[in-house]
Amino acid sequence: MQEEKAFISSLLNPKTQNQAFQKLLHEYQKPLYNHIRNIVLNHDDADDVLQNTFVKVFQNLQNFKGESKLFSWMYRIATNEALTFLNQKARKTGISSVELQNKAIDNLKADVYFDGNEIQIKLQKAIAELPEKQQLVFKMKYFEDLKYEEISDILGTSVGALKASYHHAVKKVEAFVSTN
Amino acid sequence: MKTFKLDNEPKIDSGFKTPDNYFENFSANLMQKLPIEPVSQETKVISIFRERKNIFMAAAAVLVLAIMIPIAYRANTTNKEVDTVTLENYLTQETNLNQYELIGEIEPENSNIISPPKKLERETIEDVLATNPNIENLVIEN
Repeated sequence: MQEEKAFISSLLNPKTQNQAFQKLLHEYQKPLYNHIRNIVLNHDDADDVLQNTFVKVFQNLQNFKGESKLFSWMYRIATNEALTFLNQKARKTGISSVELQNKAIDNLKADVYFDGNEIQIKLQKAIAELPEKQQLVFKMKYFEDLKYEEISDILGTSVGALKASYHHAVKKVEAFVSTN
Repeated sequence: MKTFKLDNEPKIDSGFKTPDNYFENFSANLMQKLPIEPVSQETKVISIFRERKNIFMAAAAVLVLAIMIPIAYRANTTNKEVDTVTLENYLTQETNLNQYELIGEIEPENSNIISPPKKLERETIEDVLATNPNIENLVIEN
């Protein structure tokens, strides 16, 4: 914790800011990209959201109270940015978020930055059927291998509720894949 | 129908890929967009002779001033007027004028410089005549 405080101080100090932010990028850009990409599905959209996420992180570092870990705080910003992005995109195109997500899954086959087969497409379609919160929990647990405690810090939900949520999500996904 | 179980299947990855060197380029692009001052690549070298260098420079400055002050003083105080002795020597050696011609050259308004006082006391004249051994010569010349 002391180490993290020192790191945040170096992020705020103009003399050490450059080096510290590069370290932050090096450490978090890949996991945050994967987290965002799992939500928005498309690479270009993920790229935009990742940039917005780091810009917000930079702008709000002064307001970071240290009540949660830097890791959780950044994941929370990334999650909010990705969900906001999807809602805005759905509003602009005049379709619902579910329809937008199904459209994005259909486009995956032609996506040069998607190297998946039928089972991966089917899994994405099964996830799209879940409520938003269950989707998030499933993706963070199954694809990103985050611990329940970490997901709890990010989403502000108890570990017990998350376990139940993941359990329900798995059952629904298995049922969808079995019947489709 | 085969029942699908996530735990029984090998882990399914998301299948998402990124362009080559995406993360390297992402970092570089983002750092340019953010208002962060770039870190100077040059290492600042602090000379151990810096203190001594200052002393040498101060001493050199004092030396230059010490040399320059008399020169500057002399330059400012140069008297362009010719002193009397030099003028006399010049007139004696370089011209053919004798004292009478020289007096003749003096303008009338300045002639009182060499004219005797117009009113001489009797006693003064007597003293001059009494103390001058060549009085006869003077009387003959005039």
